[in-house]
Amino acid sequence: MSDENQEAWWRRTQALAVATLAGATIVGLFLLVFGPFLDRLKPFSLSLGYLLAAEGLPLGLVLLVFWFANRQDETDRRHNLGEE
Amino acid sequence: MLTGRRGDARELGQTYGLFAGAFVGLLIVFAMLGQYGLPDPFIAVLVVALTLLSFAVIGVLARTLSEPHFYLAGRAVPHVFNGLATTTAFVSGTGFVGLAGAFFTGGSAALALVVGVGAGFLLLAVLVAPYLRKSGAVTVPDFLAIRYGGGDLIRAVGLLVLLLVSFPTLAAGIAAAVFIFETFLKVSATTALDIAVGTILLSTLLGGMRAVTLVAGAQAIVLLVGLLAPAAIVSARNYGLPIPQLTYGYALDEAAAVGGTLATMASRFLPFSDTSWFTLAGATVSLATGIAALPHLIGRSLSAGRISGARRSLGWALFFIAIILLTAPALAAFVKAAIFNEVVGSAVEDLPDWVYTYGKLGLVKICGVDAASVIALKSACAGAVGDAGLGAGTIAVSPDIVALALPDITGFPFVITALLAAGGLAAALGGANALAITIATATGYDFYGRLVAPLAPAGRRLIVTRAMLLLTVLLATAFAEFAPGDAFALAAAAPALAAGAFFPALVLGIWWRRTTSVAAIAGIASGFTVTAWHIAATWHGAGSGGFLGFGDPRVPPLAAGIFGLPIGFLVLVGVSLVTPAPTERQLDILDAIRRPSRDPVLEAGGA
Repeated sequence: MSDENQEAWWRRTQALAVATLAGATIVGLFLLVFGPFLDRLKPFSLSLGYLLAAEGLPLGLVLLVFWFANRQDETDRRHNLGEE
Repeated sequence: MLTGRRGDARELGQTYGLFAGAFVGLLIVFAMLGQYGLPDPFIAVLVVALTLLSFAVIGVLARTLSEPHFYLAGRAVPHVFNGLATTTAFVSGTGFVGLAGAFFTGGSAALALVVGVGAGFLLLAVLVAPYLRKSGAVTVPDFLAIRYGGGDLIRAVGLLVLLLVSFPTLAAGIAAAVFIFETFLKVSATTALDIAVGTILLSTLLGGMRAVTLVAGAQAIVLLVGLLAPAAIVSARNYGLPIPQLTYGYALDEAAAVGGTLATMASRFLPFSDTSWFTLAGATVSLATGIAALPHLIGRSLSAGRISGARRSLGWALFFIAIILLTAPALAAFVKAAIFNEVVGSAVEDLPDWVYTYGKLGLVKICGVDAASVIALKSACAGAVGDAGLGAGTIAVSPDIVALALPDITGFPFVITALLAAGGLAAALGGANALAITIATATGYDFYGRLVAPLAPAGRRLIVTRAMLLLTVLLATAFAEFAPGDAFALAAAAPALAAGAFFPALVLGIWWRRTTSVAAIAGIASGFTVTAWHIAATWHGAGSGGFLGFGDPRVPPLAAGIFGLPIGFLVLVGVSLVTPAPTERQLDILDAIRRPSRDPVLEAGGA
């Protein structure tokens, strides 16, 4: 495997890691700032901001981890660096 | 099973499916026998003893003499099952009991924990786990030695920190199991200790990580069924929908309609009362980075079947943990509604039996005294209770009983109490298993096999590892017996200590080529020291505060990573820049660690 290929793969890997963590941070900050405004809505008798933080965020992070894992596998395959 | 073949996942799925079916079927039979008059102690013995016996039997059947299987389950654990095992290792007894208690005490601290847990698993999956899995390391100190080179010093420093972080958490897991036995199953402390130690040893000693993994799958099933079934039944009975995660708002409405605020009692499991922004942010950051650096969680990633499997198994782990995170507030809300409906406004003579059951253990206080008897309460409440009955402010319920007392408080048959207790015990013992094997592997492999006797044959290393495991569990049991409060407090500090010490060295070691061996040692030592300094300075509420909250007792041990983490990063970066750059060989090793292909790391470095 060439050094260029590994460097290109590493750049993509870094970008994916930054995008994944930045996405989670932005959603977290959104809930922190706008959560109190969303609390006026009360689905299931729970404040919406609280509901999104307590239930939406963990479930969203589960989806984010799987999305990240799929994208990383795709990146590895594209650069012939998978485990196959 | 765990052979690395393609059929492993299907075989494990069938086996655990059968186990889950048998467990639920037996519960239904025991519940019916309970309706026909089978006494409560028999039901408790049948549910809990059969559950623990199944863990021990799996542990014995999974025995192995192979070093790779004993240390890392042959690096062949399919990702869904590794996720289940990671769930058990993470939740442990303190998490199971502590989280529902945190929601019961107040929402903001609990939300900080939820966000910290979610972020922690994301950080572990993105920044750490796949690279440690690729490195071929057996433990965290082993990874540090492979990545940084630099002789035995970094391995020894890593080993010392691993022991200081993991040992009190193991003791806390055993103490949590004893608490559950004593409080909910009326088993004496001595018997409880014997049962807990016996189960842990049978689940770990013969099969190592292979047994821990297979037992953890069964423990996760018991934990999830034990937690979900009672909450779903209460939800369906009271609100017509068996999804507690969506109905607990109505329970909170019921409590609010009665009015008032309950008096507070401190939690032994999760000492966390300050809810300032600084403390909440500190706890979130500390927990998130700590999860990405806790050796017993990283150990699970090292045993994943593939590098990509290490990432996916953390997605599954977070999925299973999210079920617990979403159910814990429901348990807390249902208990709160029951307290407001049945206790607030009652006369002392009309209090339900459970108030006295837990009051005698010092876990319910009315009018400032333990609710041990009607006479004691009448005397304490004289003049404080008017025609309206007990006010909410006169009632304090320990957050530590919230997770497991739901069936008692909401009037369910005893079999449901036994089921929840079995779930709590599965969590406590599963966490203890993971910690015991992590400590034993580190002492047997890193200390004996690498530092003391590098030429010792594999068979002797395994004997020493098993001896270390036995010694570790016995010492932790003594700690849990004589100082359970300190064990819980130190366990709550473990993520912070791991964050301060390991997180910068692990993350920069993978993501920044310039990181040097000397800097890693300095970063680990300084991050750990600063975190531990805050914890020691504020131990049992001591201290009076200093710069940015350092030494302030309002900042709990769980949040102490907020001090050690930046110091660890600063020292690591600063020392890296002033020490000689890593050698070509170290950089070759780093490239091999990053590369997700099957090529081994050390050969790539020319060793």
